[in-house]
Amino acid sequence: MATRSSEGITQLLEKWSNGDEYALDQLTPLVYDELHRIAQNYIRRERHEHTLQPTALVNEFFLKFFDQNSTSWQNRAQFFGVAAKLMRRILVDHARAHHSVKRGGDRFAVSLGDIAAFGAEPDADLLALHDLLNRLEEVDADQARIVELRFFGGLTIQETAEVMKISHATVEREWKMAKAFLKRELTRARNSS
Amino acid sequence: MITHDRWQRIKEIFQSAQEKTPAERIDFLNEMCGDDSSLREEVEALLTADASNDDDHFLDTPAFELGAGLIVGDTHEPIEFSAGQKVDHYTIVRLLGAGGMGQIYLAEDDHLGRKIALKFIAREFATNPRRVLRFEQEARAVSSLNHPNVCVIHQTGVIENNRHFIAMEYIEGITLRDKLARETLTSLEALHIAMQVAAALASAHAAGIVHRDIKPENIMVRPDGYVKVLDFGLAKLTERVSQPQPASKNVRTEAGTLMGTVKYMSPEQLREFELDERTDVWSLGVVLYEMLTGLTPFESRVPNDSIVMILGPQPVSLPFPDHVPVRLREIVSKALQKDRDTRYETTHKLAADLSALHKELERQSDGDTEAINAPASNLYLPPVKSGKTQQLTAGSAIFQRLKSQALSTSDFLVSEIRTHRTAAALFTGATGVLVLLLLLPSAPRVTNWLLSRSAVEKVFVPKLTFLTNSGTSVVAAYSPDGKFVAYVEEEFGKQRVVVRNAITSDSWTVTPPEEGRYLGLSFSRDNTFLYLTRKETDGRSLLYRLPYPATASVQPLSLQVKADVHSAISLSPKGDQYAFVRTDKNGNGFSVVVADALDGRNERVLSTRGGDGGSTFSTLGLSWAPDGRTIVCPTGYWNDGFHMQLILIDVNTGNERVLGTKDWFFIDQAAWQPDSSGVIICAREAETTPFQLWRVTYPGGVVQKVTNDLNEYRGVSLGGDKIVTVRTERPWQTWITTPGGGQSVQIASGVGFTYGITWPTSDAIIHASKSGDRMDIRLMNPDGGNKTPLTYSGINYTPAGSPDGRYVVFSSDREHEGSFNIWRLDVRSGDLKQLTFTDANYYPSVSPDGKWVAYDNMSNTKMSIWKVPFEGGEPIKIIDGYRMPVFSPDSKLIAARYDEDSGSKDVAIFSADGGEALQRVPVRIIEWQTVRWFDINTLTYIERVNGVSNLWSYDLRTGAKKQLTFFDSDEIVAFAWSPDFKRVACQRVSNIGDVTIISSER
Repeated sequence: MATRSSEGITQLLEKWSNGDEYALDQLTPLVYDELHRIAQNYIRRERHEHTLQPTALVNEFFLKFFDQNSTSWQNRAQFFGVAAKLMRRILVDHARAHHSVKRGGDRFAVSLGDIAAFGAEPDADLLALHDLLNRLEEVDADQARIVELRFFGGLTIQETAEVMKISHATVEREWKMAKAFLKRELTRARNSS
Repeated sequence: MITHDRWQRIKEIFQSAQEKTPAERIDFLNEMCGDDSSLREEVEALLTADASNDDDHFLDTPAFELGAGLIVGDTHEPIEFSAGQKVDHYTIVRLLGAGGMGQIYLAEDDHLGRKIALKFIAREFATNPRRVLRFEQEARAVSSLNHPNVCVIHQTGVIENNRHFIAMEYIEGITLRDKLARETLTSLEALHIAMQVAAALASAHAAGIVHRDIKPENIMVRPDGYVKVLDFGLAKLTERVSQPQPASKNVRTEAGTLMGTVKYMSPEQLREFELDERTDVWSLGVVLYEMLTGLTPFESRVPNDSIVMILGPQPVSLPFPDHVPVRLREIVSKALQKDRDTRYETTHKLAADLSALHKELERQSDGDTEAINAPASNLYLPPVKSGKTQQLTAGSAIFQRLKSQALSTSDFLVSEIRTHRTAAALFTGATGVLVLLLLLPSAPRVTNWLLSRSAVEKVFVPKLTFLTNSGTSVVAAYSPDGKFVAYVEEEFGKQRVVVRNAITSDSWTVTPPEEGRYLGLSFSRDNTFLYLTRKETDGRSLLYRLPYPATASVQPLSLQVKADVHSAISLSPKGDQYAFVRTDKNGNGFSVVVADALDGRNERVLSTRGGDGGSTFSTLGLSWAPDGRTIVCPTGYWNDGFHMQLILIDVNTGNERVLGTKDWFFIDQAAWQPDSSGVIICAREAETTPFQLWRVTYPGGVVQKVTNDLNEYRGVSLGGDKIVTVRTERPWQTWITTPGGGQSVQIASGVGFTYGITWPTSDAIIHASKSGDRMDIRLMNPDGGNKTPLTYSGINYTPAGSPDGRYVVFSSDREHEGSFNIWRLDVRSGDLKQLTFTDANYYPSVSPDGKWVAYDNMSNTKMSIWKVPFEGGEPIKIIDGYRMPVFSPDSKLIAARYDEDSGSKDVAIFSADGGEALQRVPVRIIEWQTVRWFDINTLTYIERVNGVSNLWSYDLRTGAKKQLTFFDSDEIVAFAWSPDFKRVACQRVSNIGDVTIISSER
């Protein structure tokens, strides 16, 4: 199934990355299905295990879902860029749906527990983060892209540097400032609300 | 909005400021920002935020993990708990992890202020209250262990929404799995860990608790080297868990459940034999091997291959790295013997060997290690003993033969799949199909057939679908068109009838929960009525009829159509008549009767049984042939034990003939196939083998297996080409309780039938229980320790200790299979003496003066009580018409069971020398249960209220009754007082039944 569907997915991803928003509509349920399928497999396999390792799970998702060796990808950068954008889109859509149903939904409370600043209303914060990132993009597109790759794409600083063809030190510097900006804005938004 | 230029300016200052020391920063900012206070504020705010980011790791965790949480949350558990939330008297701190069993949180105990780990059981594991109860009982037993290497369970509980939780010790450390991923262990380190795990297991085993799921994920290693074993008892929840419809999904889940841990499962666990502590020995052996080599001994990326390797023959040797000491290799290989009889018999012994070696290695670690580190060329234990097949079921005997005959992996696989349910579920998990034997040619050809590739291809592949998963189902029937299934659900001792549309899966209750026991359900041929045979609490057995298709409304059973119907009925093909079995008032005579379906009149007796031959008809179900001319009925007779066969009765002439040549120990029910090609029956071959489904061809009488596994299937009914039956299971536990509010402790548990318990001396409890297809008398200490079987051949049950505790008398067929006599065993020397030499002698009781053994005889359906001198001699008949004698404390009286005309079974007391009953005691005796004397004036007995049993006492002078125990679940099937009458040992069982559809897929 993974092989068969990944061709279609790859094409859809390409279309989407070329600006075809309709392709995303077709893509999202596929991505969801695949995520669910992998998660279920994972849970089944790990039924007796003490902990679930989310990173392993999502890595599996990326490996299976995106055929990154496909010749149609111009380069690694494009691949990771699209992957990160897709993850961002999915999470934001999910948070949006969840947030509208139930303010301060409890589902993310725990998952976000480690991300201290995310506090009591994680769904709202994820949406706020998304909006801030859009604002950041207007003034500093590179920083926004770094955040997208690092936070939504899960790339390391080194990987981000490779993908963006800039130095390790630059990524580190820009990442630091972008985080400071996001943190300040999130804190400001919370304090004023 | 900040402009691009402004942002660049801010960035410049922010990033430069980063390179300054805090002291330099102020001057730097003053210089760079000058009068632009908003610029300065902006930069300072960013610097402050940046500092806090380093502390709280803001955005350091990729959103991936959100994705995972999202996915897992969506697919798994919709409700989670957030920090600060109160659960019982705990406050949630944070999530520690989420596993298949549920989520674990770090929490704080509000009362004691300590940190604990709070595990919430995933809903899917908590759907069946009985299983949860079993788990909680186990958890309670575990909580009393108090062993330093066992993770302490503080509490189990349930909060709103039926969320079950376990509060347990919070262990700061990592799992052995994580440890193995990070580092390679030395032999000494591996030994140190294994030793502690073995110690934990030994202590649990002494209390009768088997872990069943030992693996690196369940072993925590603290930074100080201390090891804690987690999740004792949790395996109870996953044994044959959740069966959501459709069945395909269910099987996949079950298969998946096992997938992750296959590598640590013992051969007997894969075969779903009853498990004892030796399964934990095996699993620890696997873990130890993995610690030493980095791989499990039967490692394969494909679970199927692991299974083949685990179930396959014993390897000549397992590879070890050179540094592993020879002695350690020996220990590992002794733990990894596939035949559990050649494995370490107790974890205690394994623990002792491990710790002795540990000491030795520590001592030698400074000095000469040559002696231990010799090469391992000749160190393997002798090859596995062949044989032992007599301890396995028939199916397993085939397995044993195949083990030596299998020519290749694939042949072996084919046979395994067909023999064992778990293995089958694992292999076929992806397609959701259980592969069982269907249409198997008769027994002698089994092996060839299994190994013959061409024959395999012709085989039907039956599919099992579970219609219910509550575990509370009792009887089931198909409508002739296969569109509806009717079944009985029993909860709290009350039964109700449910009808389910097999196509839409809608189901509705058609009778209210009521006392009384449904013997059988039958649909009319034209699908207009549902007939129900029910045994009422007053002993009457009545036939009712409900309009069908039943509506969703619940109707009280008022439409009684006929009395004295003692079996499920079977309608004639035209639907104008039905047939049933009737027993006469004293239960000694049986007849097959036909009557008009319209009004139950025009009765005609076709055939009778009973009288001195002791022959019977099954009261569970006969079947009218599709050709209308014959009725097939299971019939039983005594001849060197009890046997049952199928007979065909000609409806017109009453002539009878036997179908086929095989007989069974018991045939439950028979059902014709619609094309008259055969009869499907539910039957057990021997007293200790499970009820399975068979096909007997017509007219040839060739016997074939439909199912061939270790489950019990009760009842059979056909709807077109599908079979409905009830898959049942009977877990038991032994509890010690102190009447009058004392503590109750579980000391032993198992699955299958238990027959009797006795407590002759303060340090010995003796009981009979089933293990595999053996039924043995077993000895244990009242704390559950030191469990020892006392018998090794034949079927042995109903033990009774002698007053001095030196002997146990019991009923056994050890001399002649199927023929039961009373035997006396010297517990210390093992010397045996046969006391009776007839047939069908059961329920011995030793007189407190040590002179006599009383017992009952059932060799014809007229029951009687006899006694024989304790030292052996001529038996004397005491009285006719009674069963299950128990001597009074002064040896002068006997209390026994007698059957009322109404069918209820009460107690009477008479002189041990015989004669008329002196006193009739109005306490009802439930099947197979005996009373016990408490003192000369008091009897104790089992009373069942709303499906739950407790012990009561009856004052023989005043008639006063008093409740002694206060269990809130399960049935008590046997009990025994301690010699000082302060404590009582209870054998408690629960019955679990799920309606199961068997269909064939080619």
